[in-house]
Amino acid sequence: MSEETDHDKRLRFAEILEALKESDCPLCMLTRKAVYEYFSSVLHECLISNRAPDAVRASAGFCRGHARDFVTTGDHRGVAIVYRDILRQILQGFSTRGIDGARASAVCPACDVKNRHEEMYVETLAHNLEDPSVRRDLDASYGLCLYHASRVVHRLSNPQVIERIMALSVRQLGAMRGNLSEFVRKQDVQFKNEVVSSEEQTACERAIDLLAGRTASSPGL
Amino acid sequence: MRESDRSPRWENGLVAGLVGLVTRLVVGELDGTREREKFVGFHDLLKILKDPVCPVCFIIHRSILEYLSMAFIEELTMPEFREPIRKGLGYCEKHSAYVRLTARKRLSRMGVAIVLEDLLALIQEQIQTLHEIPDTVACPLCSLQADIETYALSLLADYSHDAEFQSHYENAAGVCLPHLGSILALAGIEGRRYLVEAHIRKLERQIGTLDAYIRKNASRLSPKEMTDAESVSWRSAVNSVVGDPLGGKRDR
Repeated sequence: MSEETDHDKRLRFAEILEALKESDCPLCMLTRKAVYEYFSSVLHECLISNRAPDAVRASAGFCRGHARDFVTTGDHRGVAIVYRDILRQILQGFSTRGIDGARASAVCPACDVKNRHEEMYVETLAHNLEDPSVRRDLDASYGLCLYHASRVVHRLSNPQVIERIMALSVRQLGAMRGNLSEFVRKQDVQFKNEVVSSEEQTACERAIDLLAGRTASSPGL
Repeated sequence: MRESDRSPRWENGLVAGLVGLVTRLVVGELDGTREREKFVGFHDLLKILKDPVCPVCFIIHRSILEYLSMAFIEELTMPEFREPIRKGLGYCEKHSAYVRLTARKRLSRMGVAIVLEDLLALIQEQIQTLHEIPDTVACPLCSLQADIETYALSLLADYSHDAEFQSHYENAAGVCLPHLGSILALAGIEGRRYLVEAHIRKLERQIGTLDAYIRKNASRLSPKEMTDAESVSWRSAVNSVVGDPLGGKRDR
């Protein structure tokens, strides 16, 4: 992998600042975006070459989670071209060497993209949290999921910044608990006339995202 | 019966199933040397083969969803259900999708909200007292899925040599590649031979269907009419390589 330039790092930091304005963990969002951009390049390549890229062939397609995300790109013909190539490869291996011939020799390339970009975004955010204006932006944002908050904290050495990130997580958890409690309270017939706000209505899904993160649109099961 | 004596129904069934599996291993049923009686699981399997998905993936998905739908209503106050969630600090990202699906059902949603609120309170307390953000330790659905998978794989392995099973399997989507590998390791000689040959036939058929889909979609301006199988061939191809964890249903 080529060495990162200062320009790359500045670009990544700018992406993080933009992502902080959205209603999602910025690191989850940017990681998903990186994987989808990779899928776009795979689909573009397969339309030209009429086969799957070498890295995708070596891994016999994507892992379960990323395969499901690949399908949701909407380019069904591109998906068909890639997986027809994979199936041909599997058939050839299976016919000659049984199940061993059908096994992949490399890890899912989308996982590799996800892990690399996630690491870079975590590093970039942690590095820039020394800047008070970035900490203010993070405080005012939707916040990080617990998984990414933990990753960022492990990168930090300044105790005050660490405390600030943890305080942000505690506030997020408190707000989410409030939404969940209100939702539960309003299910009681005594309070049936009270309107359930959209935040309370979506609290379950948002709490699940806060706890586990959402680096894939369709997490493989 | 005291509350502490009760176990979730699923665990009782699984223990019985696993004991049965070990017994069959000892008496030689798993290598095909003894005929296994056809029970309700076999007939359920024949029904599942009518769906265009890997039957093992389907059984896993259905079992987990049924368990969660029941547990978030009927076992909400039971320590056996709640303690593993608290100890494990929630679910992993991939199994959180199941909880998300369960929360969509009106009857289960309140139970999910109660459990999540409790979990968030626990984590909030941990952050404040331990000064660290905890990770998920042990997702309770990971261990549940492993148990269900063992049952489903042995079911297919046990009947892979059976003529009635084979006649249904021939026109089915078949098992996905990861599960096929596991079943081949469990099945007897006859069953293994059949499954390998059937899988080759299915792959050849799928590649032919994909060829037709790609050819007919060459021009987006005037896509040619295609069969039902061709129109979903792209999804079937992905499913046959990695399995379809949601059993053919979409989560959106």
